[in-house]
Amino acid sequence: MGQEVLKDAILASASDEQELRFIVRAVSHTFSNGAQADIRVLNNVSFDVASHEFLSVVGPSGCGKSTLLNIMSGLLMPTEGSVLLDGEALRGISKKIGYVSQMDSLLPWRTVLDNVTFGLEFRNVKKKEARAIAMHLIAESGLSGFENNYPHELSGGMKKRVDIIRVLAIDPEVIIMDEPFAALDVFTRELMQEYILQIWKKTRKAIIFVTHDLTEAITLADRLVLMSARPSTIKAQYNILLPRPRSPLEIRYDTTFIDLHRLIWRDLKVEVERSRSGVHCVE
Amino acid sequence: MSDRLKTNILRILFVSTLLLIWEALAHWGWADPFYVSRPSSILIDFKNLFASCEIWPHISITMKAMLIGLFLGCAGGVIMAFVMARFKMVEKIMDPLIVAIYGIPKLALGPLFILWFGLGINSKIFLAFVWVFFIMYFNAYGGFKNVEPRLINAAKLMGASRAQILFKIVLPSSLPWLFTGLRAGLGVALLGAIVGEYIGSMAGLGHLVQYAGNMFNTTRVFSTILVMTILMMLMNEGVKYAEHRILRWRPSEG
Repeated sequence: MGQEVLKDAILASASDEQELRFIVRAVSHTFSNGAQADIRVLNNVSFDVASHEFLSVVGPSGCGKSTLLNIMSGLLMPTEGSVLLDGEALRGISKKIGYVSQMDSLLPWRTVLDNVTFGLEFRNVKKKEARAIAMHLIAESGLSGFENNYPHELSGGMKKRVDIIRVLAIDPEVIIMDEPFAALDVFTRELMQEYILQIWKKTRKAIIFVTHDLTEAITLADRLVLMSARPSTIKAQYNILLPRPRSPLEIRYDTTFIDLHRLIWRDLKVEVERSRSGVHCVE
Repeated sequence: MSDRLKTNILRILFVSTLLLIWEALAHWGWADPFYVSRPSSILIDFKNLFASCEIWPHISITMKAMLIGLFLGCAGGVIMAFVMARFKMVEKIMDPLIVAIYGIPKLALGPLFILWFGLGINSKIFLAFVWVFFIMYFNAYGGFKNVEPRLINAAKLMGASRAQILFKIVLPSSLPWLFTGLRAGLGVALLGAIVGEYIGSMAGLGHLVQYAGNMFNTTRVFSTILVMTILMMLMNEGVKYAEHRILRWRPSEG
């Protein structure tokens, strides 16, 4: 069983029977800095995400992930290539995409409830309806009783939950997460991994999860995209055929998990070392 | 609570002691009441000012000049700060000019304003306005410049328009700065109105002080100052209360 999983793991791309949602097609990006030499950050990056799929993106730090994220979220137009969402080229910010960033971006002057309804205010949802949606999500996430608290009164994990349900409230098709748990302590992070798996199972949204924590990436994903050091390309893709439901606390001791981790780490290590040698790293 | 009570009692004791010493000095002739008056006379004059209703027109004219100046100064300062924060080019051109104009002692402009706007209320409004404008401008500018970029980004990604970002992110996040500007503006608005009245006027608290001074009526000078102090305290408390209510979301309360 373990061997087969490993064999299937290599060179995967989204299987054809699923309807493709989100396609990154031959995206390259170069920053021109006036007098300085141009910096090529992304080089011909292509991958796709099927509906309902959980995709992890892993790469060494400073590999152009944030540039890729900005392009995928519509904040930045790539110098070459395109991003397709439901067959249409992405031009600017789309209401079909939800975005969760590393630092929580809750509005400190709004209560939990008003933070969750925030995105709905730009979608012409009636106040009453928005409130109902928010209350439901808050209850589902175990935050009942905190509706009227302000962000500074919450723990890091709770803030992150509010951050995530704020995005769920606007009901996007794809959720992009940029190292969402990087700022949390280890224990909270594991709880949040469990939480995000529950959310994903329930909502069946496509999730693109960017992280530099390989264990986290394998634990969560259906498929894993490995990015190279700068200028970034897709170095490899892996199917993570571990059975679900997965327990983030247990699965890392599974022998298949360990084998997968070793397999991917071998590739990742080369890139980490390359990026550490620092030639291309201008942050 | 009991700590606060203790502080209040000690404060009252301290002030009463000072007043008693003042009264005693004047009473035993160690200080000439002609120059320093005495607390009891001041209190009686204070009471008479209100009993005779003589004070109200003065309060009303000074408050009017002050509040209109405050309002215009706040509005002007916020708008100016917004334009500067929003348009890079305007900022580049105007920033050194604003700092230079701010450097002019406002007091020196008083006679000019009276020449331009006459002895009536307009010159006082203008003086208060100029004073408030700069204070509000610097605070609002700080507020607009210090909005967390990640909050603006988050709103953008949620689909907020420019105007929505302004009203839902930039303004609320600058509110603490605006309140600081308002509280400081309150003080200089009253200062502007009263200084304007000193320089030349026919009514107002500043005029009352000036007139009493010319008549060597130190008691009246002190009782009018007492009126100003009380007005200032009341307004300050009002703004503090509003600030406390509106900025409830802030982590720590001083």
